[in-house]
Amino acid sequence: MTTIGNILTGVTRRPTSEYGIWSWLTTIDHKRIGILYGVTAFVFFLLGGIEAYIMRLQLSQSNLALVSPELYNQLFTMHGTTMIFLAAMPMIAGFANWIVPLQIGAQDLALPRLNALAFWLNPAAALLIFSGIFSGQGADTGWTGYAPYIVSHTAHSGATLWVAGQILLVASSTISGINFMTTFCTMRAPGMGWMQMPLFSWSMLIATLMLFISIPAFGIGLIQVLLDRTIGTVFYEVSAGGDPLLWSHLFWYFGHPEVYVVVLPAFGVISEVLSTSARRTIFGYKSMVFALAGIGIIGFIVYGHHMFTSGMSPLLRFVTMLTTMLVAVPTGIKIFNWLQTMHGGSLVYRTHTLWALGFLVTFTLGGISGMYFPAIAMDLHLHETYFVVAHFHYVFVGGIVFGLYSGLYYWFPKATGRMMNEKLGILHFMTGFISYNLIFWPMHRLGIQGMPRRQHTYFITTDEYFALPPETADWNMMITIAAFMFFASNLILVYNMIVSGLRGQRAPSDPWGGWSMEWMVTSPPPTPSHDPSNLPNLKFAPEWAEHDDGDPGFFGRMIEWMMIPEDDGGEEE
Amino acid sequence: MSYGGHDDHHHDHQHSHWGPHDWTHGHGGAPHNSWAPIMLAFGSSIFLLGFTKVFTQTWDDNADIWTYAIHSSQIGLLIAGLAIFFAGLTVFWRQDWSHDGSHEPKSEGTPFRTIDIRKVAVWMFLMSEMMVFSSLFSTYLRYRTGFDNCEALFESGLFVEGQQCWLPASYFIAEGGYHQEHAHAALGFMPDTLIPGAINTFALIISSYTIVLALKTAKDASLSDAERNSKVGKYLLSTLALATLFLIFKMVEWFIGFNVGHGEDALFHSPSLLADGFTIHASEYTYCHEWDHHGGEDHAGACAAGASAIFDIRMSASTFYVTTGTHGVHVFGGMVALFYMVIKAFRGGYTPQNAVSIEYFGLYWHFVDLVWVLVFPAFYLY
Repeated sequence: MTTIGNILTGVTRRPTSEYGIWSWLTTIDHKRIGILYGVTAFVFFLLGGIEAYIMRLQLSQSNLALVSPELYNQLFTMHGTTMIFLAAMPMIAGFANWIVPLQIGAQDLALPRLNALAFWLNPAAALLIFSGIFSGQGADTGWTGYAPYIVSHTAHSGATLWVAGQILLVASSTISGINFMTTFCTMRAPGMGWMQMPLFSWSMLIATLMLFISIPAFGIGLIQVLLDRTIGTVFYEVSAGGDPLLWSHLFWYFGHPEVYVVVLPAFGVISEVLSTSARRTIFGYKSMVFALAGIGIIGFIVYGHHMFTSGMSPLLRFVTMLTTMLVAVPTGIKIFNWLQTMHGGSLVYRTHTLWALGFLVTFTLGGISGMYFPAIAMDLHLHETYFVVAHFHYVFVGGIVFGLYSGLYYWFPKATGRMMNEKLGILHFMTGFISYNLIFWPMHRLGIQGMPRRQHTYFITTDEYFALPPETADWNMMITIAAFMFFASNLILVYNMIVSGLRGQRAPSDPWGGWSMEWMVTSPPPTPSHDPSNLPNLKFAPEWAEHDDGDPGFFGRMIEWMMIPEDDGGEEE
Repeated sequence: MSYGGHDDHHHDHQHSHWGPHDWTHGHGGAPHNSWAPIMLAFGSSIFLLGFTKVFTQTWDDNADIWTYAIHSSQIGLLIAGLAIFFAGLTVFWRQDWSHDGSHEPKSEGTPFRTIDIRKVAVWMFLMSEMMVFSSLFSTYLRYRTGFDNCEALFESGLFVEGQQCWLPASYFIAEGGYHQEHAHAALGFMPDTLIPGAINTFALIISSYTIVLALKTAKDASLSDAERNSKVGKYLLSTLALATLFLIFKMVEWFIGFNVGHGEDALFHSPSLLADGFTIHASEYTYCHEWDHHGGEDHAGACAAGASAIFDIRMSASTFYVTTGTHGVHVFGGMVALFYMVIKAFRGGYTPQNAVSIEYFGLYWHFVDLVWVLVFPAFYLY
């Protein structure tokens, strides 16, 4: 018995190595997991870029046959999946892992081992998702995986593994969602009330809440599809009365909140960066918080605008038209608050400031092009054209990627203890910003002219219905060239990160003059991130947020009420 | 705004603030690491890969239908995935073991102040679980309200061959399936086919009670350590036994059926749902509206002339099996956790100080029970 016990202890003992590959594979430290998230996300970001670039080469001239239509379908499916699920989400999780505990004055996340599990599910899922494409039978369903195509026999067999991988990503998001919500609710430093929380943390709180309320619907839809494709249930099998619209509802109930889940953290980064760069507090902090919460609530009731052409109920179309337009209100509040923050402060132009300013321009443009879609008549015309592609790349790249680049330059010194090279940073911004706009601005025009998205090629014809004017080919060639520039500009960032990370100037604990709690600790921060026996204490906290009376507060009392009453003679404490 | 050190901290230095995730175990204050996450992640990945290899469907071009196959040769992958997953789970719990959770980390933040951190986490988890079952019920509502009832359609004479309709699971369970005319009802007030579901309902409700007793006993400081742990262990063991009973009766109801007694004199007799023809591939289910039985021949009567029809009931079966199956998987997950807790109790792991960890499981278990209370009337009775 003892021997068995010894063996068990040997196998399952706590690995304690602090260096080397084993320490990285077994780490549960939020800072290391943040780096793991960031590195894998960046690898997938470049991979997704390569996928996009192959598509751009195919589209550079009309009627090219560089890749086959089948391969093209797999490429745009994998591009969407890679960028959203394997690049954007892990990148945000990486930032959140790094910054949230530091910013709210916690030692780590509430559930460190589950945090590691949420990370490792990402590469585990990526293996499944990518395994199909190497056999030439990768998922070809689009990142939305619309039914009934995804359960039909014409869909590639790789779609099954794509679905299986997505299920693991759903599990990952749920686990990290639970973890972050618990951290926010329970581990804010003494004295930090909700309204003292920095805006990046607030944005992560709202994003996490949205994510883990919405993603189970997607998970269940995926399980239904997986069972449809393996054991033969008939949830989306039209011959058995399956309803493809049900999938659209389950998918977009998750899918639309998802776009806010990825964009809200970028909002948070911009709020931090702009207030630090403008050397003042953010203008309208409370309205910023309520705008975030407003987006969080409205974001759940707008998803019908993805389905205007699907033949769903006209009443629902009308309602979602109105609610979709309503989203512009809280978003507008945020934009104007950022402008007012800069107006009232005095701006220092660092690389992260430049990216934040670039974000303001491109995200506003993306928001304006987004306002074309709730107008049903306009949407019917623009549906499945390059206008849609232009719109969501303006918000995804111009919003999320620019926002996260800003955060990368802003927090890089904190994470590595080394300053980034500003000259290379500015070069990255100039080339990146210009080439990015050259890629996606012309797409608006192509879309209005009727160039359909998700199609392998296009034809310059005089056909009455599919007419594309000759200059379309020129625009496409320019986009392809600009896409190459954009890809290359990101290599500048990679080079900058490697060189600065190794040989950059040593960073002080607060290089930019930020005043939230992550700047109180050394760069790079110690472990545990804040000393658990001497947590930072927020001064000037309002009376009700003071931490000395042990009062559980309103929600706490509610939770206590739901627990077993302590009248059984037992003692809990 | 400025920040300063917080001096009057009130944490007990004897215990880590981190409970199981103890910072003091590593060298130089670093947190201990864990192999569990990477094992759990890749274990589930390999399991899903194996699942898609074992259960496959292929399209038959000539007949224009799917054909289904179970490749038992591929089952090794599936089992390997499960093995890695459960090994990871063992590592996870083994790390908690040495600690035995004598200290629960408490919340610092405003609304949940003084509440255990892991309890908040369980409530968060239940919030997402709520959405899981909401999605399943949305699917059910969509299809249940979108289809005509097969029996009503047939009686109205409007049924046309090949039309999709809904023959609810309750037709097979609460009404006794193809015996619906004279379903064997030893108890008088309900057909024998409903017995497994009825027993299961009570099993889950009682198990919710036993888990509360386990918590109450674990909190009882008046008992000696050995006595308390042995009692807690017995209550946990009875919860585990009831959960096992639940899954066994589920298998009986789905696949096995039961027959107590012999032939005509059978005391209890019920076919399984599988034997009744209620399967996810039942695109041509033979329905009989009126049984023609002569001379006391009760069970295997022929269908009266003009009283039969072929129904496509795949959708009804799919929603039934997947929804109740998802609930069953949750019960199984609870059993795995209970298995760990029973061993922990018999090793003397529970004290009034860490009894609250039983409550975390209890919250989940009550939730699973509550879901059954919704699933049962919606799928078994209606």
